[in-house]
Amino acid sequence: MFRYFIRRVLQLIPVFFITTLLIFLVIRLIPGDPVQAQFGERRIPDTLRANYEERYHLNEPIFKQYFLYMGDVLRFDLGDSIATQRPINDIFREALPRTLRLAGLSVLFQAVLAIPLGVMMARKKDTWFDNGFLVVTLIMLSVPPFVLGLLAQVYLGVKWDIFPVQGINDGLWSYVLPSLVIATSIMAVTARLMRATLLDVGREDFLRTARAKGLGERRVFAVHGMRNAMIPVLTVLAIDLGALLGGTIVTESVFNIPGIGFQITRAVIQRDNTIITGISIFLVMAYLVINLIVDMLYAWLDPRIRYE
Amino acid sequence: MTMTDPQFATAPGLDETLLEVQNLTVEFHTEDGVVRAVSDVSWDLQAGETLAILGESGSGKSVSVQAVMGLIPMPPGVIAGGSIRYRGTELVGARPAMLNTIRGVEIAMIFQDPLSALNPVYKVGWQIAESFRVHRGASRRDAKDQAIALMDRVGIPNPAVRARQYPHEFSGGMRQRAMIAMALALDPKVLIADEPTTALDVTVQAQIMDLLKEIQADTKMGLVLITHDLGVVASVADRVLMMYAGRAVETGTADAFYAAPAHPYSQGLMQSVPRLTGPLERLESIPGTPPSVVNLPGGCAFSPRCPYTIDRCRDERPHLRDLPDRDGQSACHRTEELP
Amino acid sequence: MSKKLAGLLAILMAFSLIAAACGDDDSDDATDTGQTDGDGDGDGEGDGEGEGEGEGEGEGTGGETTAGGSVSYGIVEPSWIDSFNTQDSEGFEVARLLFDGLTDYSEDLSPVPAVATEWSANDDKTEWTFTLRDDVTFHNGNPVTAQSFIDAFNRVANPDNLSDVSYHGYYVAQIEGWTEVDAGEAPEITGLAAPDDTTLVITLAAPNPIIPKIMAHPVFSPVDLSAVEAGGDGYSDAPVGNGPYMMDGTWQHDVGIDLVRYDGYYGTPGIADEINFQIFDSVETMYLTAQDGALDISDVPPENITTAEDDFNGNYIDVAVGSFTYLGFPNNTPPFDNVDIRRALSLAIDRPTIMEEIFAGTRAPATGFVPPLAPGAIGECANATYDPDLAKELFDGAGGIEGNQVTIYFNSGGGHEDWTQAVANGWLQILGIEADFVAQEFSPYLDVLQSDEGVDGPFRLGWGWDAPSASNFLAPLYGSDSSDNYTGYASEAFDAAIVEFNSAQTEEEGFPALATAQEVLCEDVPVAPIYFGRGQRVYNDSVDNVVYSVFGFTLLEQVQPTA
Repeated sequence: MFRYFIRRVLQLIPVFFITTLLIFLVIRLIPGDPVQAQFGERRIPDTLRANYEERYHLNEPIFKQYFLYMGDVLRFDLGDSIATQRPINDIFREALPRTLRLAGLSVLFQAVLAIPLGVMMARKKDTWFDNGFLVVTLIMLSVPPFVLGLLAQVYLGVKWDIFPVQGINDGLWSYVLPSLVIATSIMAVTARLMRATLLDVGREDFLRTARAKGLGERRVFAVHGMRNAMIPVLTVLAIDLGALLGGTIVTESVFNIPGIGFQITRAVIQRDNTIITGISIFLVMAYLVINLIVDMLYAWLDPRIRYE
Repeated sequence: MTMTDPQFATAPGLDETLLEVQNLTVEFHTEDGVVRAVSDVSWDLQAGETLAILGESGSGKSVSVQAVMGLIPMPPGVIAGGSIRYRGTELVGARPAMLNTIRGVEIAMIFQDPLSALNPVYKVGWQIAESFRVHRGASRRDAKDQAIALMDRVGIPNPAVRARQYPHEFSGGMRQRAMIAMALALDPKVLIADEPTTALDVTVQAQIMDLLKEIQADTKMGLVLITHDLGVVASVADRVLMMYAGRAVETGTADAFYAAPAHPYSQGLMQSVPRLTGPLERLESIPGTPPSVVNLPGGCAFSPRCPYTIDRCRDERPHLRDLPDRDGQSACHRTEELP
Repeated sequence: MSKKLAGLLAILMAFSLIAAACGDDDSDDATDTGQTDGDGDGDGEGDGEGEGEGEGEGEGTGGETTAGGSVSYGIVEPSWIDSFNTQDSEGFEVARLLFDGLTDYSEDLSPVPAVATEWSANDDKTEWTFTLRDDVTFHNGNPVTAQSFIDAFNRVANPDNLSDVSYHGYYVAQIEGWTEVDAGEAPEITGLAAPDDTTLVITLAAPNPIIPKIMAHPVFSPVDLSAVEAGGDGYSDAPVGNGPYMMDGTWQHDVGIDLVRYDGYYGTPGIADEINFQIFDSVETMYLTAQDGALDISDVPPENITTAEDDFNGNYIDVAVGSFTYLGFPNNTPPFDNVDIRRALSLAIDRPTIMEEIFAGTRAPATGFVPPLAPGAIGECANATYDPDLAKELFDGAGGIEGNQVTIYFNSGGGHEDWTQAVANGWLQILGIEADFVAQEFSPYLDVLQSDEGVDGPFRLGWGWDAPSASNFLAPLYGSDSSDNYTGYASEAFDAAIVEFNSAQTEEEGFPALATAQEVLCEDVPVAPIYFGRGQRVYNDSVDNVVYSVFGFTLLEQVQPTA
């Protein structure tokens, strides 16, 4: 098992280099001039252009640019933003915790909402409750997140004044409404999964054994049933966390939370190549690492899984 | 946690009737209709006795003992009639809390496929120890120690190491031993074994049966053995109950049953058992297939396949009647006439 | 609760969600009608407006004012607030409070004294002498001297600092020696001198009568080099200025900027104790926050223009600003080398209707080549009106366009799809020509325009002024040797008029020359003017005396908190 883990970690290294190279190339090969993009509709004086190119190595052959860039990256220096010349490390240090809070709370709310709901739906299989919530959660899943977000802002923020409308000025409380919006939007999948796995587990023989031991229905359900049913659900939640790191773009925009999604949206509009590259690389690696963690988590949760 | 009901604290006297099942009828209400899995079945079990319930798949044998343990899912199952008494206490319609003081404590059950019957995500030792923790309020350490002791008792080598392993790390035979250990944890008075050896190799089968016999000799517990394998039963059972299509069709002592099965179905089964000794013959089988319990024919359920069938058999269902020449009963109109 | 009741509630919830999602106008259709430009909020994708700046009067406009309180103001994240590189309108909103230059603009856009009390020029307007006050200090207490200005200009010109707005020095103001510094050929600007602490002499490479106005732009603010050094890498996030407000803490990127009144200010003190800039990612969220009452003053997203006045009980401002959008013609490429074709195309555009339908009145139809608010602008140009009959007549008389096909070029992502389509529809209806469209991202778009072949059809561009004068809309766009002239237009008469303006003794005396230049343009129609920009703001009753200037900024130092 340990050997497997080490092997997976080592596999990350070539993947890291290949993906960073691809991202680097793709972004730089997109037509258009990132320096011009900073100047809007004005022509750039030649000297200024020369300075920019010097500073960002823009006139070197592309592979040399890549090596220079990777040299910096491996020293944990992601370079500077072309638009504002701010060090990207600073931007990360500010933006990442905000996205983490948003993603973390979303997964938490998702768990708190979807798991009991899935359990209830399994218990009341095929009743109005079950079918009704199936429909409701599907609707939530299909409504585009910005619509949900705007509705929430208008009703819960402005009209009923329960939550702050935007921003991060109220500490952790600012993240509650956006996280709820995300959670209710995606909980359809988790709730259905919980329902399905619980129904599957419900048919398992070992539950019958547990009852035969006189353990009482509550314990049979909680200790024997849920422990098995939760395995796929927990792994899905962990994967959600990884996906949300890059997937909160719309919500961050609607609720004005300056996290990673916010930064990369703006960077794309402004053609700020260094930020785009830096954040993309980070997101790819984060997702890979999270997937590795999820695999390990799965093995830890289910002792039948053995990796060689 | 829950202490055993003091009512059962006393050890059963010899020949005390532990389990008394009378006219048990179990139905399942499905979309396709009402299925009568068990119809009007009666049997009892004494201390120290082994009762074998025989029959094909679908004969209702598993359902009848699951009803004893209250393991029938209700809905869609319903105990439509009859009574089940454990040492005088009625189990049909009992409150779950009461049932839980008996299940696992007084009456224990082991199942056919130990791999699926054990929870894959908990260690084996933990699962055995669970009974101690839940029913006796034992500490984790105590429970663990007792579990290891039990595993040793049932013949699992290296029990301390094995206790920390998971079910999928055990072999088939060892798993069944673990199940037995789990069942025996709280010294039950009755052990119900539902096809305990069906999923095992032949050699392991013998070991498990020996183990069961050995434990029964020690503890004087009653053993109800469900099986379709006549060979297994021969060496172990004291009494036999043969079921067909949800009904009891023959009862008797094991010896008598094996010497001379009375019911045509029992006879057919006996003949179809392949023998290792004797001249090579064509394998005999009972023609036809067991009926679906949804649409039971009127009259005797076995009549379509019975070589001795007469008109009366198709019109009138036979009841269990005492055999003329020995202890036991058979449900056949022509009992007296048959060989 | 019973199963049935639970199920019923679930279904009701589902229905109400569907109803809410359908019935809500606010969240419909986030695609906007050109708001991605905003008022030049984005970094340059917009109409190009937002380069100019002003500080208005500084005096309270009559009535009682009580000092105190705080004002919260919504902006999108600026790129810079440090004066040496401020380049977007939101950056200017902040920088103009932090910095004071030699001069300010008054409401009629003529220059008024700020750090300089008076100024004079030599006869040919190539040398300007400014006399400075001696009581102006930076926020850290250090004195502001003539040298502070020289230091600042050199800082802007120095290529190592990568200032994107250095062109103000050598292109707009044309200060002698600036180009050489910018090109890295000289270490300091030779055209600046400070004979003593309160005298600054600026020598120009070419005559220019509106230098005092140009000096009011924040890029020409003074700097305290010792503060820059002390601030290190973080200096630009908390620059030290000499204006009525100073930084309270540092710029929280994407979150906010807090300013507090500077008590050592030499002029009229700001009214509010504090000004809090709240930074938003989208104008929609900003507006919503203002509606919620958590923001005092906000910009208005286009879908709310029609309801804004009601939403805020009349606290709504809508003014013209100095930006200009046009459809340029490649003047040297047939058929656009024929003036009658150009005239016809321009006359076939129903500007008022397009502005009303597509922009809900947030843009003003262009009636000429210079927005009316710019000093020196003349009145309406007949060729920039809507006259379909005349257009058809001219078009047919000139022989039409071969193939009856044109290609319209514009930059994508700026919200220009709809109005160009409307123009094309008009051309189809009136002139019988069909248009196809080429939309490109801004960078490659400009590359194509700048290339030798250029484009072969009408192309959309925008312009925002650097200095509040009509001249700034003329010479850069139509001068024969200007690098911002994408049309290839070259007119001796026009160039001569510009030269005449530049050698005028005062700006007013130069107005006739500017008028001549505009008349020439009106005859030649090198581009089809489309629209001038407007800006909007809303505010809550928590503040009063909210004035939004023609430069596209709110005079925040005059805003009176009521709470």
